[in-house]
Amino acid sequence: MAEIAFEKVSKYFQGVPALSEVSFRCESGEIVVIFGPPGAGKSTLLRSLAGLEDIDSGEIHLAGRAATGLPIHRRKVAMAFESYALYPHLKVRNNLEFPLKAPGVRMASAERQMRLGRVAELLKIDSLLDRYPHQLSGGQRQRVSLGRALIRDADATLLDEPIAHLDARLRSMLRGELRLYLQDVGATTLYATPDFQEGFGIANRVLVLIKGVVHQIGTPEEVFAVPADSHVAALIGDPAMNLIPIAPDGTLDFGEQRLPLPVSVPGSAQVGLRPGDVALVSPDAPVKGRVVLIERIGSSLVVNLDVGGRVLAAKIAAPTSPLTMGEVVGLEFRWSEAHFFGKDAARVEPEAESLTMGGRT
Amino acid sequence: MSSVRLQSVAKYYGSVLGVEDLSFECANSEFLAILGPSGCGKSTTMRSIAGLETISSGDIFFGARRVNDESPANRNVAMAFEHFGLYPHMTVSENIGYPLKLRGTSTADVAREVVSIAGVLRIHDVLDRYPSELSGGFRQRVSLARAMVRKPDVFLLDEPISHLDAGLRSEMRIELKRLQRETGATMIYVTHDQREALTMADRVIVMNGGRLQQIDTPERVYTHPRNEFVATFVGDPPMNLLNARATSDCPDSVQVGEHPIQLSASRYRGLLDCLTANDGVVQLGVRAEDLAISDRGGLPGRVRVREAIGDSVLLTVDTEGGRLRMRAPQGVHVREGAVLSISPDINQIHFFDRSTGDRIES
Repeated sequence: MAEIAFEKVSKYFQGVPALSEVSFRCESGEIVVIFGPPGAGKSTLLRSLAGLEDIDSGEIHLAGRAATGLPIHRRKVAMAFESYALYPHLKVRNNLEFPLKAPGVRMASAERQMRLGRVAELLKIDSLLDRYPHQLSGGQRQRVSLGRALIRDADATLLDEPIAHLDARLRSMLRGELRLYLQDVGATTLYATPDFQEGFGIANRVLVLIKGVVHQIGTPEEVFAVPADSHVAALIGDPAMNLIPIAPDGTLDFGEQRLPLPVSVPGSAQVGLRPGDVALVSPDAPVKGRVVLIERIGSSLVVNLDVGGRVLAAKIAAPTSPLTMGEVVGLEFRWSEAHFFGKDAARVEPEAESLTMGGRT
Repeated sequence: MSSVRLQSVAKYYGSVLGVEDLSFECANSEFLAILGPSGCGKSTTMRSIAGLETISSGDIFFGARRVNDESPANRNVAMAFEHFGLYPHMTVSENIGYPLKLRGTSTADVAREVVSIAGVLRIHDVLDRYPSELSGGFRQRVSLARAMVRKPDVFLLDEPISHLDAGLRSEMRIELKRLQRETGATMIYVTHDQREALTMADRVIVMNGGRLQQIDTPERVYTHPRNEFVATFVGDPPMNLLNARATSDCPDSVQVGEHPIQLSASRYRGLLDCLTANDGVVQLGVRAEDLAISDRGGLPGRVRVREAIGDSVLLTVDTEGGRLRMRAPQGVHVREGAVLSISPDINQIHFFDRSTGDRIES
């Protein structure tokens, strides 16, 4: 039995759907990342499970029991809010211990100290334990709030952008450590974030939520390798996949430039090419672009190109002769790695024979 | 347009340090980014240039003109902030034209200037709308248009896009760069986001603790960080730093844990003074992408975390030299808990003095 199950859960705000028939399961001890752009309904989903929002239809199960209709205090959930919500009159130490001293928990002092130490070490707040919330920076408060959610036993741990306000260094380090901690204590976790690296780095499975609709659920590798539709494809990757429309005559539509498609995929309306599958060649190639921005990501360069008014990204190894802004270059595509999407945005698989031609044009 | 030069500028708030010993020049038509963590002094620097802060000592020049005693209005700088500050009761067109109207420019001239600047920022279609009807990206462009319409000598931008969502941010990076190139504006851009700084700027200033750490091209800041702070602040994930020891086992090499790292004779000679001064220990820096899994002879380690992030896999590995993060190709078959051996690309390693944190050039 899944620890968390949503069955066709819908929620409306003044007639506007925030969640539309959301169904998924999160197994005991699993970390499911709710990934989507701002306004996707991620927080509403978490709040519905916590009992902070009433749902309009569907069922939510928590720890094998129907949670729908249960009041907040009867649902055993731990939640870290984006707005922190710390007790201002309690020191950090007492804020963290608070859930462990709640009536009905009765935890031995030694156990409390052990958990406090562990969470403080994980979140690097050991030196802040005797301060009050008003003596902390925003990032420090966010970590204390997260610590308070992590320290207790719960049927579900709900984390809503829990490290969004930390500096880049700490965020990068915490992702992996947070996952190890959650796995180690066996926390069943829903983790909401719009950040691709953070979400994919921490998840056992990713649920892609867009405008209240579940578009895809899978492991980070699966979702990256086989995005279910073009909306998902447009959100994942760094930078995300290039999406290029196919004109009615079957050519790739780059504004004034057209390129015959070397692969014919019935029913496709858009081609998706990852930046890593776009190569830069001499400007006598059939498709040309003008360099509008060059970005370094690790040892690669991401070159943004204006191709007939559309911006395309190419991810390349740093070239020996440097590129310059405004330079015109030719583009080549690795067709064997192309993704195809239909008019309804859904993924369309190319037929087996057309795959074999692969190669570049 | 005008160049901006700071000479030995310091700003104290009572006894609290804002910035100290700050000297740099932003050339005419240059895009200069000031990058650093919160509290590093970057906003103080910008506010001092704008004239919103009175500096405690030093001089600020716009071109040949010393502006220390000039009011913000006379300095002819334009500022755009992360919060757009548009007038909600005015249309886009009225918002943009407002600074000109205040100057007493004729209605016809205001209209002409507004249309012209709207063309540059590609907002001509929304001139009759109100700010509340626009998306964040459009509002930001309107705010920039209002700043630009005054034809300022210097543009100061303080985290102008940090609160937009990821897609819009990447669009605005392209837009801002285009704008700066097309108008030849002198731009000073303050941000805590290294990605913004490294992609848009001609040169980057990295600040920490009220002091300038490095001023260089984005490329140099990344490949030749001047000290440990810059090395670990710029780059994602941050550069790995390990203790390396001098060893008598093999010539011209240092040792991380039990693992020897062979250097060229000249590189090793460059380290000698520092090794001698620091009990034979030096900090070795290596970026995640400059580490590779090797079949044999590398630094042994155990995989603590594996993160599948799109087209690469980020591994956190515990080694006897410390915890390392390395980037491996997508689909690499390594599980958490696996034991492996890793080797640095020795052409891409950095050394820092353990006591000062400064880069050792060799």
